[in-house]
Amino acid sequence: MDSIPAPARAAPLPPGAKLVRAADLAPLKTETAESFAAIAETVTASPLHEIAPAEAGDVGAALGFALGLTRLWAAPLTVFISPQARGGEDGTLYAEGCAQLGLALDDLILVRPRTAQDALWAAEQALTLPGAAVVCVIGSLSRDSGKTLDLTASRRLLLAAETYGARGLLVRLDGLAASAAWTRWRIAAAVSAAAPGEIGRPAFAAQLTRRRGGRADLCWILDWDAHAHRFSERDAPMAGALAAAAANGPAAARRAG
Amino acid sequence: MLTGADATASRAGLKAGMALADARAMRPDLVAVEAEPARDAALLDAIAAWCARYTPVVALDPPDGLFLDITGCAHLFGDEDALRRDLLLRITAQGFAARAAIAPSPAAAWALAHFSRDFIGDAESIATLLAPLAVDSLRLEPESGALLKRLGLKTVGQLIAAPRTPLAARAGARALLRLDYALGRAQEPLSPRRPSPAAFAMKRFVAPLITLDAILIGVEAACGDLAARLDSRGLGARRLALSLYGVDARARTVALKLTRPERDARAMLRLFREKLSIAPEGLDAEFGIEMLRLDAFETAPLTMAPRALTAPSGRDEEAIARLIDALSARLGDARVRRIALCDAHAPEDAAGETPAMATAEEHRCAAIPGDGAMRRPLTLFAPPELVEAIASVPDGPPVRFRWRRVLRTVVRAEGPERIAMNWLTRPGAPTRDYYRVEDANGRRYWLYRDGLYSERDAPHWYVHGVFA
Repeated sequence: MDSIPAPARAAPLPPGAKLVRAADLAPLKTETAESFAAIAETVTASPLHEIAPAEAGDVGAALGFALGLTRLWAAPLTVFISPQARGGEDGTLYAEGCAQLGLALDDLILVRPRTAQDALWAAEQALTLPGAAVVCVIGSLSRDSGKTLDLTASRRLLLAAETYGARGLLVRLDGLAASAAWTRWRIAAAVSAAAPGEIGRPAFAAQLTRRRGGRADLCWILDWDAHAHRFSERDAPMAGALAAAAANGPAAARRAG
Repeated sequence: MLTGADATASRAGLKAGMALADARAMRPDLVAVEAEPARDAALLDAIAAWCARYTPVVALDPPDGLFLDITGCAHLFGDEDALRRDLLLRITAQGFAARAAIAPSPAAAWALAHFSRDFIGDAESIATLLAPLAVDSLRLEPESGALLKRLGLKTVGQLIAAPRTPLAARAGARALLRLDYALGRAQEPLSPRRPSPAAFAMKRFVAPLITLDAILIGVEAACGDLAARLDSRGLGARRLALSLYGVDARARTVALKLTRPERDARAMLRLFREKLSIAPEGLDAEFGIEMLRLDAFETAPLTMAPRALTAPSGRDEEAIARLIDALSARLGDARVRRIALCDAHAPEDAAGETPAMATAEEHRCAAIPGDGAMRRPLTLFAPPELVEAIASVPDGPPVRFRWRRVLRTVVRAEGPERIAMNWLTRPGAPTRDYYRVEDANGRRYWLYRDGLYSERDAPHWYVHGVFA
């Protein structure tokens, strides 16, 4: 394990720095808010992340965001693990859509385990492949999956990802969020920036709700560039869209079908 | 006619080939049972299957014989005689009368088993052992057997000593070929009951193994042996079969497929560990496993590619193949898949999914649309989900639709994209008009109207997928 370089931390403490309570710090001004590109670098360098749809209707956005993240670094293999849902209600990844999102289909493996336990096992196995990107869907919309991922299980994934230099992205549909993940995201669909009558590029309202060793509660409106494999921040309609994204809180998630 | 006689009947002078009336005349108390050749054949096959615990190469010799190729197997039992005694002990314990002999060639073993009192012969002693036996022990055709007897050649020894050329002219070359088979001068072809493995490794245990951990230690040793055997021949196996032989005389077989030829013992062990750990109760090993054998099939030469210090693509194909094998071994081949693009009219047919273990073919590359907008959804519902939709104009996109109990207002729409169904695969299916729509929350759906208004009165609307 020693030979593998430790993932870069988001905010390394300068020598001699003292830890202070977050509440003692002066609130940061919005101007100093970090760019998404900087955060994305942290994400690509750290082992385990958690992505949850803001509402039940945002699963497509959450999956798109997670799969987009896997393209931020040159993963030799992307493993997409999703427990098989009854009646196909969660939908299945569609080849042409994946290709248009910019994924390399030759480097994509889909795993459909029967149970959530098998899914976690498969994720742990896949994380032993150096550099691999492993997207694992936890829980399901179509059934009450119960508590499938506990802290111990997520620590195992974290350990595997750290040891082998792989990256795990947990897409949590179970509405729970207790894990050893380094960052936690809440993803909603964002209104398109294209001209009226056009759908435009995939767009996300991304909210960073937790970050190990760094400031969280940051929001961005992002457009996915499938050609360049990067998320571009949208500045102009930010305020309005941000407000909309913030309004779609957890209360709304419970309301939505 | 008698087709067989048990020990008591044989002592009374009855033997196979006698007419039943004659036999009854000799022994009025004869108990005759109708012969059932089909059941006898099935029983012989079952015994052959049981004998697979001694060697992977078992050939049937109907109606009542078996050939076992024990090359490389005898040492597990100590020596050849120990193997023979072990086999006879177990066969007899199951209520069969049996004779067994071991010789360098199948024909010699057959001769010793049927005609001799010596049951073990090696390459040096076999000619001496066969010499006193009757020429019938060579399984000659009846005519050549009769001819040899008329010539005064009664024993194999006389046949060996006789000049070959005139003998071949008179008794036929086939009789001499039989002799050569027995003496090992020619290789007699055997047709094994099951395909012979290219390589195998066997382990026999002093005490039966009961726990999975113990069995895995045995498997590990077998994997090591097999890997060494494959390695020495520069081969890798694409198919492995692990047979576990229980004290209860039952065999359990675990088969494995591999994406690429494998000869790494650790990789093999990892796969078997996964396979065995999902069904420990399926092994039903409550009485213990006393023997196991690992067979390698479908071997292919492995070329050692020089490993570049920095892989140009950063991909370790071997590691990827092993990951696919490990996932497939535990979850099942069908649950580990790759997706590829294929040409099809109906979108649901265009999702070309194949098990990841299948040999990879060249995939068609999809171009990302120039504007970066997706034309096809990221996830597809199968089957498409029916929605209540209100369209403003008959041929336009819906203004609102209710899907999964939530009413969604369409803010943007692109379309229609008209997709006609393949009339061969989906005869009579209406044409679909697809729209990409975005609702007030920015969520995007792939909707279609099932049929044109000219085709049907009130066409239904479906959500077929969602975009990112």
